[in-house]
Amino acid sequence: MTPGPDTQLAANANDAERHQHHVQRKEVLGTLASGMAHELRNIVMPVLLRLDVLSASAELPESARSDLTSIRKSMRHLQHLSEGLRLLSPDAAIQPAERPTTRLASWWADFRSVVVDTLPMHASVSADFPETLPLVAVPQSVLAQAVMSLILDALPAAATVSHPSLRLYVTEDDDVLRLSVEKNFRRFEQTPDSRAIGSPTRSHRDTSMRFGLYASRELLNQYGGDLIREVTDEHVQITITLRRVTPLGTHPAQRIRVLVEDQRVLAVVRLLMQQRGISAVEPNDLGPVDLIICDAGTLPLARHSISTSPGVDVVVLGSKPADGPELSEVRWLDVSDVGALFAAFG
Amino acid sequence: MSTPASNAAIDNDTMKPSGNSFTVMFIDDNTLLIDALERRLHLVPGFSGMFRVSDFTKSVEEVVMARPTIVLLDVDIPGGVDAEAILAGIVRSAPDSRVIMCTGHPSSALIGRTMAAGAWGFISKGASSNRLIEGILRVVGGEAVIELED
Repeated sequence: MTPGPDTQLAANANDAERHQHHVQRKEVLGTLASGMAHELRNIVMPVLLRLDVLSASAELPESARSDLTSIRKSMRHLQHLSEGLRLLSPDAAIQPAERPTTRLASWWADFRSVVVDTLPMHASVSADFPETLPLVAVPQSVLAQAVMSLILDALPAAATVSHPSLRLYVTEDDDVLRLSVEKNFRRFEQTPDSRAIGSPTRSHRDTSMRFGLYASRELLNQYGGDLIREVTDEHVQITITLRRVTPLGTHPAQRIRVLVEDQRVLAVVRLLMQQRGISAVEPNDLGPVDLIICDAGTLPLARHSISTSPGVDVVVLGSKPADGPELSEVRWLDVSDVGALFAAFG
Repeated sequence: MSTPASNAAIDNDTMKPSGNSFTVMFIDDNTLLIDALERRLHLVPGFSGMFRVSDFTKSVEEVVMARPTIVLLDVDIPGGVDAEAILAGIVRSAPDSRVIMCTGHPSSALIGRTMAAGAWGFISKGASSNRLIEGILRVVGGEAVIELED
C-alpha cells in the first residue's frame, strides 16, 4: 500500500525536524569549539613567552634546551589547533570576523588538525595547497565550515569504509580556484543536487541553519563562490569554487608614489604595500606612476605626478578638496581614510 | 596603576622613556599574559618597564599619567568597557603613546576600524611570541604592524 498524502507530509516534517536538530547540534559544538579556542590562546601565549625566557638562560643544559624545544613545538601545535577551532564558530560564518580573503596554505595549516581529529583514527587525509596560490575572496571561517559540513554529513559512512580517505587539492582557472574535496565515503541526503556552475541556488531551507550544506553554498555564493557535487562509482567529489582576489596594488609592476605627511598613516600605507610585496617609487624618481596615494596636505605635491601620468589612479586619504585638480584622465578612488584603504587593498 | 619595575629608565621630568628605552602599558585582564610578557620584554634591550591598569574604566587617565611608549590594548576588556572608546581617548589625550590592539579574535572590520581610528598596530594572540615582541619593537621604531596567525 502506498502512503497517503498525510503520511508523506508527516514523514517530511519528521525529516525536517531531524535535520534542524542535527544542524542545531553542530552550531552548539561550533560555539563550544570557538570558546575553547579563545581560552587556549589565553593560556598558550604566556607559556610561549615564558619558554622564551627559559631558553635565553645561558646555564641551561643541552638536554633541557631540547625539552624546551619540544614543549614549544607542542604549544605551537595547540595554537594552530585553537585557530582551527575558532573557525568553527557559527557567528564567524555569518559575520566573518577575519579578513574576507584566505590564503589556502595557511588556512589548511590551522584547520588540518581539526579535520584529522574529526575523522576516524585510521583515515588518511591529504592536501596540496602550494604557497604560491593566489588569495581567494572568502573568509577562512566560511571555507572551514563548508568543508566541515561536507565531512560531518558523511561521517557515519566513514566508519563503514575500511580505509576512509579524504583528499583536497586545487586547480586554477582564469578568475577562480577550484578546491576539490574528494573522499571515498558518502552520505549525502542533505547535499544540494549536482548542477552547473553559476546556475541559481534553489534552496528552500531556513538560511539560519548555518552549518548545513545548503547554507554553506549560500554563504559561498555571497562571496562569488559555489559548491558543486559530482558522484562517480568510486568516490564523491565536491568542488568549491572560489573567486581570486584582485585588490588594489596587487601587481608588483605597478608604480606607486606615496605622498603622505602623517607619520602613522604613512607607516600604515607602507605596511599595506609591504604585505603585498610592492614598494613605492623613490622620491627622486619623477617618472610616470600608476597610482598616487596622498592626503589633502600633499595634494599640491601630487599635481606634478598627476600631470605626467596619464590614466593615473589617485587615492586621497581624507576627502578630496573642492579645489582639487579636475583632470579628466585621473580616476579618483573613493578611499576616505585608512580603514577604507584596507578595504581597497583587500 | 602599578608602576614599572625599579630599573625603568624614565626621565623624571617628562616621564617619557629616555634615549632608546621604551615602556609598555598592557590593558588586559589576563595577568598571566602580562606577567609573562613583562618577563620576556626584560630580555629586550631598551625595555624599561611595564605599566598595568588597575581600573579599566580609567584606562585613558592612566595612560595620560604614565605616558607609556606603547599601549597594548586588549579588545575584550571585562565589565563592559569599550576598547575602541579607550583607543579614541588615548589618540585624543595621549597621542605620543602608540596603541597596538591585541585580541584573540582578529577581525578585518576591527582592524580597518581601529587602524583608521589611530592604532599603530594589530597583533593577534594567535601569533607566535617572537612576532608579538617584534611587533612591539617595530611600532617603537615607527612602523605600523599587523600580526595575525602564523
